[in-house]
Amino acid sequence: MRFTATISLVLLVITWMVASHFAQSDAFPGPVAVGEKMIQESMNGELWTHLGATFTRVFVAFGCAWACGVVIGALLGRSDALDQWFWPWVNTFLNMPALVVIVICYLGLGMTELAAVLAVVVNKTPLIAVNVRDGVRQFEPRYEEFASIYRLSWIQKIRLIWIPQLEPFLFTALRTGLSLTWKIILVVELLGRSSGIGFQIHLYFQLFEVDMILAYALSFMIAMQLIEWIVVRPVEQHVQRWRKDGQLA
Amino acid sequence: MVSWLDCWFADQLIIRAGALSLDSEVAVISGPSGVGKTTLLRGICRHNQLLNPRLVFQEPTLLPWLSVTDNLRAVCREEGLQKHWLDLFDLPQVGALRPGQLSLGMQRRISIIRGILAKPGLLLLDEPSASLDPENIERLIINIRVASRESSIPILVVTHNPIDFNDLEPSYYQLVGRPAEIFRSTLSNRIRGSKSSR
Repeated sequence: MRFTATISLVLLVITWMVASHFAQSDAFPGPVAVGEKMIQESMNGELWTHLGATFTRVFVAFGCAWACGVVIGALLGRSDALDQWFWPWVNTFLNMPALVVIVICYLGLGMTELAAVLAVVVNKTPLIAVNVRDGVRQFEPRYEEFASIYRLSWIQKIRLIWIPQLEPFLFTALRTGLSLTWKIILVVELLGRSSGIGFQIHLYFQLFEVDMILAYALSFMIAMQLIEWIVVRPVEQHVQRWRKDGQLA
Repeated sequence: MVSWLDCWFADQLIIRAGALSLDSEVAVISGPSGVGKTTLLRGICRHNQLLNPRLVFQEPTLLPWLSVTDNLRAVCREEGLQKHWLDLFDLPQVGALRPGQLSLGMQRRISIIRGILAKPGLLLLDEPSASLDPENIERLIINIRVASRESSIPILVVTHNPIDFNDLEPSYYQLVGRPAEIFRSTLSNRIRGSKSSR
């Protein structure tokens, strides 16, 4: 599986190389030219500075959105009354275009870091909430009954019964949320920040340096993929290893 | 003595209010499938909170994401006591395993240990012998006898197959009718006879 994926990615790079060779255009640089720019920018430190700025925004914004989304989703999943009252709100924010939220936050709070992060939190919280709400609604009633009859404390219920059942939904929310968050962060940076990958893309767009645009975009994509491979997937496999248990009899 | 109020399910009276005395270590309530045996156990749980009852479910509700030890720790933190009961039930090696790595019979027996470790005043077992082969039923009966003698906790079993529990010399009750009512059963001798003639 991993071998196939690696070969597939190598094929993609070769296709890109061949296509750019035949295109012979500054607007479509090949992987070698983009790779050289990535090395150049990482050697002079620019890449790390902007990568760090974007990463900080992504993790702060996504952390806040995730925390808010989990609480809202859990409340809506547990209470029919709250769900009836507030589900339309969540749905409205879910369908609100990210660009609108970003512009409103910048107009309301100025071109500040707070506005940038708030825009992402407002835009991404509903997505997390929907995932968590669906997860809570699929809780096994028999574990609830066990917790009630055996008089487990609230902390025990959350730790031993709710979180393990929510794990697949939390990981889905983490994965989709994170991938969407960083794309919105680029727009936020493009519109109103003076650092970050989005800012650099905007800068090199004005200078018409497509190889630099691709160098910055690609380095962030690689970094996000590494997080998925090195952190998210191993943690997910570890906490969900019980799902592979088979019955002996 | 345990009692219960009328038990309803989907606007239908399933079981009439009643009571039974626990005059032996183990009491067995039998009745045909669908008569409301599990509903009765839930009713007993609700109405006898002072007895601190614990229900051991027919479908083991061990938490599949936790090891056996962690499942037991959820109700009792005394590791010595956990080990004592695992040894008594002849399950000394399973502490680190998760429920999905155990057979149904083992899961049922560990569920009984969990019930005992919760220090109840009454232990209710819902169809503990269902879907088990004769060998596993025999082990289960031995374990229930040990549980009853070691813990002195009265045990109430509901089953559609009371003959499985004959070796425990329990007091028998039957749940009959619609809505169901409970009666002291005189079947025990007949069951004993039929088992010895098998």
